[in-house]
Amino acid sequence: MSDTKVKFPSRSIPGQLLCPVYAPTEPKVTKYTAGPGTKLIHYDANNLDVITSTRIGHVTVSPVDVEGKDDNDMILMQVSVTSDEKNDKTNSHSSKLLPKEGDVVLCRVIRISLQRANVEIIGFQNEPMPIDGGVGTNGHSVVGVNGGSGGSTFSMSQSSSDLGETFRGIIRSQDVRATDRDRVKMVDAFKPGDIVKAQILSLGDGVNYYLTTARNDLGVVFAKSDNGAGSLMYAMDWQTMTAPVTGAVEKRKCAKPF
Amino acid sequence: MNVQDRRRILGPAGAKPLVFANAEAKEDKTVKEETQLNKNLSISLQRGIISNANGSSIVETSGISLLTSVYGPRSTRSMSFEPRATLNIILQSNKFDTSNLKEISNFLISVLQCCVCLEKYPKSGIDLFINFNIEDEDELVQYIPIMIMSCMIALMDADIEVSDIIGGLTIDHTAVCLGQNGDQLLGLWKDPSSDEQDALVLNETIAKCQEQYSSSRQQLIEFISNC
Repeated sequence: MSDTKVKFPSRSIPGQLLCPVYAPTEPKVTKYTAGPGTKLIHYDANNLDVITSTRIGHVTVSPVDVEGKDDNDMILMQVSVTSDEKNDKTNSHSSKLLPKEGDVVLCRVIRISLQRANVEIIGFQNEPMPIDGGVGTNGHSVVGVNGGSGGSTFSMSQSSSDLGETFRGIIRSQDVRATDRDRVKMVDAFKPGDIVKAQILSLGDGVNYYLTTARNDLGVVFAKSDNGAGSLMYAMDWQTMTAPVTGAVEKRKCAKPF
Repeated sequence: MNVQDRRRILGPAGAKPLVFANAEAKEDKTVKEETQLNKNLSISLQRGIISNANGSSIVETSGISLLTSVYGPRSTRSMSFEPRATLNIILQSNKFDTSNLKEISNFLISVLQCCVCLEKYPKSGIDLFINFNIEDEDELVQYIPIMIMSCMIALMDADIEVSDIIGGLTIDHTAVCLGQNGDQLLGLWKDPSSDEQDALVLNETIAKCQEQYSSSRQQLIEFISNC
């Protein structure tokens, strides 16, 4: 039997079958894994596991690095579909739809307590937000009569922020800085209204993502003095900020600007 | 209800929006295509209409215009961790009973759940709004195929991942929803007003729909692969 290498289309649309999981190539069998924009499904008609495309875009196939172990039996390849750059709309389709683990996000502190700071996520680093991301903050949104998808479980008493329906996060006091983490005073790290650069630790519970600022380049990036009444402050070192007009000095866990 | 809506910044009571004299509706750059399904039925498909929504579509045939918009995935206020997204479809029309609209929307949700990759959007909700703009009132079941079509385009416009292009067809007050090239039966809606049908007739209906499904699917594929 000759080489039966799978031919991939350059562009794909949702529901288009791209390849079977195993392809009988010579000399080794190729195993394909489903990357972003694809999904592994079981095709009932042929009783076969196949990889199908789930979005409109370009198909890319790249080898998978297997750390440590050398797999001699199979060639591992990852199939993924990346969206086209759309230039006819402001809605860039490369925008991220959801925060995920490891992402660096910008968020606004809405409440602090001794143990944690509650924040709302307002943007991704170097990534455009989806058009309706943080709709409440922009003031335009459509919500269904029954409250939309969040309606069934929404409770007015839990909406602590008046701002809207952005994703929420928590920065626990242990996650504020990398050193001396048990003695963090939240009031000396954040104030409500600060804009904080943070990294997502985990998807957290139902309501909140868990975030951390325990890195040099993470922490407060914008803050106003006197609980927001004063002017914008500048970072002097990693835990103090100063207002240029009044000379007031306040404590924050600052992000390293450059 | 006496609870003040604290989530929104409300304007004063009785406020009217500003209207400027030379306010012209700005036209979005939209992708438009007209295709011919049958000789007597042409469908116009557009996407990317609503600039405020993540994705949107307009599907028009004679006398019917459906505007679908997709918002989300956005955060829900669920207290427990949901590993999958919640799908919600709201039909908006003043020509039908709310209860009927609700029933159809529940049916559509169950059908679309088969193809939207909900597991890729944990702890979030996807809202679809379908606005009816129709001339002549027909039975709701007749609109199921066109509703599914507009939902699919809007979802793809929002870049929400879908694992299959599904389609629906209505024959004799029975709507059949199919996926995987017509091999998979995803949903069956029988209008209560229709006559009792035995299994044989139903099987025939499904077979008929499977034949026609590929042409409507082909039409959708042509539209989305051209833009």
